[in-house]
Amino acid sequence: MTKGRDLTGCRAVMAMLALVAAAAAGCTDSRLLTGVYRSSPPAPAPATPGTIEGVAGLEGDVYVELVLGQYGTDVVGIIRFFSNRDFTDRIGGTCNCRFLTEGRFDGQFLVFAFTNPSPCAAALTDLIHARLAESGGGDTLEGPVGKDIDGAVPPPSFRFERITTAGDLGATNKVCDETAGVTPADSGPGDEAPDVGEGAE
Amino acid sequence: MSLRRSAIPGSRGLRAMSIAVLLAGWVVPGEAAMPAKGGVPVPVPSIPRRRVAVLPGRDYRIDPSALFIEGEPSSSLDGGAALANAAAAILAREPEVVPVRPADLHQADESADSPELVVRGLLHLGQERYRDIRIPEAIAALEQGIASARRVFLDVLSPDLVSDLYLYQGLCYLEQGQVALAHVAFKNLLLATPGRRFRKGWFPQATEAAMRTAAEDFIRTTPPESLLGGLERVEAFLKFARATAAVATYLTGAPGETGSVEVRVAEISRQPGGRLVLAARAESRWSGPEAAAETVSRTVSGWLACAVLPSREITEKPYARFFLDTTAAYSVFLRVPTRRIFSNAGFGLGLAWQVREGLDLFGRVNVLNAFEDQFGDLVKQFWTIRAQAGVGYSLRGNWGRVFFHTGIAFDYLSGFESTTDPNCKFWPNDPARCPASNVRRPRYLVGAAVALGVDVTLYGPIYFVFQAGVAAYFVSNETDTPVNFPVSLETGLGYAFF
Repeated sequence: MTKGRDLTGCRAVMAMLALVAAAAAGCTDSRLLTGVYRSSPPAPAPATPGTIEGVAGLEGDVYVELVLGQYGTDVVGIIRFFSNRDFTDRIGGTCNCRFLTEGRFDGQFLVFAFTNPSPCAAALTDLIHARLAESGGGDTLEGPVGKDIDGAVPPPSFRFERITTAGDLGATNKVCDETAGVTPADSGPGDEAPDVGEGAE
Repeated sequence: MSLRRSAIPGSRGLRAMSIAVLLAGWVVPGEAAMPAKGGVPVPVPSIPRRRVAVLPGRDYRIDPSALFIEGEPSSSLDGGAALANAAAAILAREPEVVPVRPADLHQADESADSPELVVRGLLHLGQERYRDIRIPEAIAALEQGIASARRVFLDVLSPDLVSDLYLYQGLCYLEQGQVALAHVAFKNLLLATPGRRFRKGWFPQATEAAMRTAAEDFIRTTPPESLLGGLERVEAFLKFARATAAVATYLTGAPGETGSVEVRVAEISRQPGGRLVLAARAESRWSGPEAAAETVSRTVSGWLACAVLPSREITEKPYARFFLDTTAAYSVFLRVPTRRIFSNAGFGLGLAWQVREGLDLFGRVNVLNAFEDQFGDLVKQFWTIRAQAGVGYSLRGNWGRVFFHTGIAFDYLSGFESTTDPNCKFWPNDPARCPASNVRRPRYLVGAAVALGVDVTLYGPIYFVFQAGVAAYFVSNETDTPVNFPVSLETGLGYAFF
């Protein structure tokens, strides 16, 4: 009888502790990947371009920037494409950026897709996929980006390194104007490429 | 200065009286005596009684011209003693009061090494040295005797003994030519035994004159309140007599004319500190012994009517009426629009009014801050201001109380915004990415609450409080009450107001 009463008391205490633990779960790191990442080879080699096979304009040299927001397992954000290692020149004929869709992070792999930026048309349903492995406490993401990442011949890998953490992520980082960029040749001499997302809302 | 060195009138027979009193103490049955019924003793249940000391009544209406009389001074009952007897008689009628007379205390100490015997020995020594004209030694013995006598209140219990001490002290000082000190000694004699008279012609003329002068000065300068030498000494006497109140009666003024009757009742205050306070006081013109006794009777009866007697004492410990507490509070909503519950922490302030035994009214306010949930479904932190009010049912004891509170609850959520759409978290202000319908914004909630708690007394009115509660909300600015069923835990300290 006493033993049963003790067990009941223990269960009540355990239930209370579980409740508190569940509530305290919000304290775990659910913002691990939030920030800005840029494609880059391992240091100390200089940044080298990657390639996204099967995507016109991105099959050559392309520098990719990811702006990610992670909320638990959900990941949203923007992917931007540049033609130079300074991440200032956009690639002509393609969208400047695309919104990520179906972003998920399972604690090890970040998986997302985005609408094919080339050509830059809103009605496109052609998706590009990515599966990036997280390492270094969220500072590095590495994996294939392409139309068929699960194919027999996986597309080339990209390696991304974090350049901005969640705390430094500003509103301008989150702006994406899904319009076609201009090539450097289209712009006049001395013209600087606009800041990423500038003027868009 | 020549003196007749023989026994002083008035001190004669004291030893014989003491022996008689001692014998009487053996013979007279105490109050524990049981009335016999048919020869069988019937036990009398003892009831708690309050001891009230009746100080010797004193008649200070001294006539200096009559201080010395022809023949042997009589020992008839003076007016002061009659007043004390009247006071004792009134007190004796009250079953819960034991009047304590000096004679009762006097009888209580009969041991061979009693202070009185020591003092009496010092008196005899002083007398012997006085007769041997060894005045300094006589004064030393007498002063030692006076100090010892005052320490054990022999001026109350055995005033004749103390009176003799002062008398011989005064005579010694006169012998030394220290008239002023003799004057004081004779005044002290009159303070202890104002009714004492001396045989005319027994003392030299100069001594009689000095004593008469002291009596005249006594009437003019000695206030009646100097009885026992002040309140502190009365307090000490009450402690000595194991009494909590004292009745003093005395007559003042010129004898037979404009004298007055004065009655004082002093008692130990029941307030913290327990100092002596004057509980009753009466004063009336002297118009005869019956009227004086009536004054005493009326004053003592009036005091008794309101005095705290054992049966009137509040034996039940008073319980607190108000409970004010401040707590640290933790709360979670069991129903939330987020995918995981989130923590809320803050503080609480509560007040309960114990309307009657077992029932209280309470009010409580909590201010809580929400913490980020696991998935970040809370767009931002927010404040909850929670107010509750209602009735409670409680069980109380010396250790504290257990209570069950029920009432209405109102929550104001300051800046609550939640969504499970990650786009709304990343672009909260972009309608293109985040439709307004994807964000829940409850602002207020109204419902009912229950709580179970315990107050544990720590020290005096300070207590430890712990309580757990839950609420259910029925009304909100959003139709489906997306935030509901808060469970809260609170712990802290409180203060009970009596």
